Amino acid sequence: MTSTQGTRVRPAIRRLAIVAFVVMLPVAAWAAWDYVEARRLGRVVAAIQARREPVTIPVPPHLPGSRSAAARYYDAAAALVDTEGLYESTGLLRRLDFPDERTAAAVPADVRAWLDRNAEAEQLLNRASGFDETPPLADFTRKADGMLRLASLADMRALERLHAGDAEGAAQAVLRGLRIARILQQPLNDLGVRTSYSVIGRALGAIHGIAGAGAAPATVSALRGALSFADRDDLLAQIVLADRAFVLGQYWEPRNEWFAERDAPVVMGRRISPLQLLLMRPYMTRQVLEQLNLLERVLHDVKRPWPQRLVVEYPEVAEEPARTNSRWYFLMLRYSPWATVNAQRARTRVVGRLLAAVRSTDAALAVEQYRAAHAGSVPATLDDLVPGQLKAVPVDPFSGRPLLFKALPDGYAVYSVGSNGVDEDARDAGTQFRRRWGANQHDEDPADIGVKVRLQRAGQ
Amino acid sequence: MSDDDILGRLRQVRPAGPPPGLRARVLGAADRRRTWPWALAAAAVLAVAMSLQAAAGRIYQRTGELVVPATGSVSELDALAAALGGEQALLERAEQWTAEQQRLTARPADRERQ
Repeated sequence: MTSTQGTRVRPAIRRLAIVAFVVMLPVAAWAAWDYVEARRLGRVVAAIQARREPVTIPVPPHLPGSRSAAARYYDAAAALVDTEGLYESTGLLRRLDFPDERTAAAVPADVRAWLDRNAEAEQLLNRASGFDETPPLADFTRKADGMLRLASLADMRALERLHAGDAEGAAQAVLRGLRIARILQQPLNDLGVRTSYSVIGRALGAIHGIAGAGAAPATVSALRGALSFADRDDLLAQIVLADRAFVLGQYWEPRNEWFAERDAPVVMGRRISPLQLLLMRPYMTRQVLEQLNLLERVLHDVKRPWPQRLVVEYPEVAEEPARTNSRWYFLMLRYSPWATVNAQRARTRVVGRLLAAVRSTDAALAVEQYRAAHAGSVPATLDDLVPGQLKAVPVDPFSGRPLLFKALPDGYAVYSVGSNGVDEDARDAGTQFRRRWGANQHDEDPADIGVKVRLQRAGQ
Repeated sequence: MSDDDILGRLRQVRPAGPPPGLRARVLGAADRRRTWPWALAAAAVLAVAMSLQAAAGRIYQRTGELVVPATGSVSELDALAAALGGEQALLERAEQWTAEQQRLTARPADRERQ
């Protein structure tokens, strides 16, 4: 009896053991893959840290409101700004960016009316700008929008003051806008730089008006000081370093921690089960490693001298994952090197333009300082400003040579040759500053990038 | 020679059949030989997979400690009191607005908790 039962049970056990073995083989292969990728990632992070490069972006402590009174004023002012009439397709910003004869005449009155509606917000903004400290922008993604609204407020006031012939008032408004830009640039990554330079771009437009209006030397000096943070020669490298830290920080975001989070984490609005994340981990790690390798190569390229650093050789990466509604797609997209390459491509083009614009503007302000010291006469070349107003003539990012200067019948131009590398007599210079830098990255490149200052003659 | 004789002689030379327990004994022995290596292999692979997974988890955790930013712990009220320097009414207005904004932008679950 017993032996008969044994003859039936033992083959079943044997079959079970074989099935278990066969099932365990892919599991072991997955675990080995996971381990190999984890080791690779661990080594890469250790190497980055050994080079004393950032592996994390310091995040300001997220406190209710903020520990800074200035930040509370900013928050309150942002909450108070009434954006009606500002952003719509026929809104003020649109009409300022793309003026047409039909609507341009009504703009000054519309700007004044909008500013009147936002008087209380502006009062709070002025208070916030009065503090010495620059508060950290806790929870950047949530608050950046509010800061951009405040920047519009400063921008509108600068325009209104310029229109009223009050260069000093306009300069004060520009200084408030530049302060916001500086706060926005604290996370020196793609988002921070784009939002920051969208504000700087508008401030540059106002500064050009102030320069031509004969602002007081102290005001010009203050504007140059406030603008100095925007001229970072290593901007591209810093952004790439910050992006790499962001890639790592995003991977270890607490909500994604499969080893710490019990609730289903949310990735791009999709609820992902921890098991899904665990199964995807080696794949996602591989994607992250690919991104890190890619950024390492870009980092090498953007450390070259101007203008070579604007010509980045992007390695071939996989195409955008096929779009589906699957949760797997959202996991894949998040860590796809495809997105990183796209961001880097757009950035090098924009950074070149904005550095050219910032440097031209600073040099134009230096020319104004020179004029103030030389009875209003315009220098023959930018070399005349060294060492009195400039330590050295700023380098044109698109040529690697000094910026160009040209005396005009009614003023002067300071400009870069632009992405085509050809001096086109300051054509297009001063025409592109009203537009947001982040938004016009796909626009056609301007011929020359820079400033045209039209000097106001006595009696004008 | 009759058929009976032939059958009788055939019976004398016919080989004796295997004992009844032989089949079970032989097969049982064969089963014992073949089951344990499979079971052992499955257990070994499971052990390897689990150790690799645990090792990978440790690496992820160790690396994550380098990457995850540490948040500061400052006394919000102390810092705020130091930064105040008057203008209490305006600041109260600011606080009122920020609190309202936070309430409106909070996730539904957080809002319920508030």
